[in-house]
Amino acid sequence: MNLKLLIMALLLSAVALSTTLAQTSKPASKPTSQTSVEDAGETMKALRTAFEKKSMEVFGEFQKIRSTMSPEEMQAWVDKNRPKFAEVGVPLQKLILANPKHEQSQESLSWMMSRGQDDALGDWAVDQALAKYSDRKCAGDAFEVLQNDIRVKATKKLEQLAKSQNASQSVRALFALAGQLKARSKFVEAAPGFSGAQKKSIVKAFGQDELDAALKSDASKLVARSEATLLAVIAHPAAKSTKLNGQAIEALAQQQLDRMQSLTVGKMAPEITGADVDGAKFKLSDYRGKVVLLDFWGTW
Amino acid sequence: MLPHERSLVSSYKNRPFALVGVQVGDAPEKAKSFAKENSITWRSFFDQAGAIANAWGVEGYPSLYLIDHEGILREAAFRGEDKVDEFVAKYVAIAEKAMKK
Repeated sequence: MNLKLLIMALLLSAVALSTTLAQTSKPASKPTSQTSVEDAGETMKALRTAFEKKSMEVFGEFQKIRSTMSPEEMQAWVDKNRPKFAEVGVPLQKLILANPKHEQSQESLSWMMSRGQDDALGDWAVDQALAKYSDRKCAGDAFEVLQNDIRVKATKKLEQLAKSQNASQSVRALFALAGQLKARSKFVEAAPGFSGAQKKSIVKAFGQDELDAALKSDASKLVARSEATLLAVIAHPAAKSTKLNGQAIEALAQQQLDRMQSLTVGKMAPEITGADVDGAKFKLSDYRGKVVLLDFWGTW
Repeated sequence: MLPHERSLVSSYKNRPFALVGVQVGDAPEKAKSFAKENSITWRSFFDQAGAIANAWGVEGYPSLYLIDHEGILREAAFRGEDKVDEFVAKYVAIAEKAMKK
């Protein structure tokens, strides 16, 4: 993964998101001294909209001057000028905790976890959604965020959630874990080629231990683990009954496995099921444990 | 190729190694008689229509692929006895090291 691209993406999604917000939400009401439930919702909306607006302005500015900057300068500029997440995250967190049943609290959690991905408050939103709203949309959003989170920390969190007593949550976590390991393998693969500036940004966003772990890990092992996890999803008792966007998790896991098993060096070799010339069936995976030299040949 | 393959199979006997063929484009009778005449001891997927070769994107023959003991594809679409010897030696050593653990 390219961190520069990640930051661009964060800024870009700010624009996309603020456009949808502008369409769907009513104009924010004036802040008042009252603290009724409705006002809490309006305040949460207003906080988010203001942050989006600020992000969009910064992004506009960035577009104007980016052509004059080196990648390092761009990075530094973005770090310096992007609105600080804590400015919106801290008041939102307070309002969510004070109004746990409010619909806007769930909305705000989803928003915080997608916009605060390199901030401790984003992590808090993920944990809060999974712990307190496990059957709600924001918990689904939390799994999606974790699935794209390349940190070891996210792997560990999902492993823990996969042990949940709630079968549906457990299979959902396992499925997200498979995706997370895959995403992480790409990051690990790219890690040795990071420039000094990129490494610095990663340390800043994720911590030194995450960079060290990425440099030490083996990408192909992570891919193998991801595939093994998908197989575990398919075998999970709740895989058929748990749905995601209208489709059974079992089917989604199978599709993903098929896609992954296409031919790539460093990934699991695609399975071959066939027969010898006498019609006796066998498969490539029968040879697991042995090194296989696969020889495509003909007598012609 | 054939003499080299035979020697490979015999020299890696009792070690974590298997030569697996995919016999592409031959008629069954031809495949059977050829195996007998040339005392081929290793197994091949019989792929007369080339379905497996297509799935693997094979473009020329012979075409070799090396898959490690964990099922991970390590080397793709290579040929040449030197490369075969090098890759097999390398990954069999890795497999044996892993087995000892």
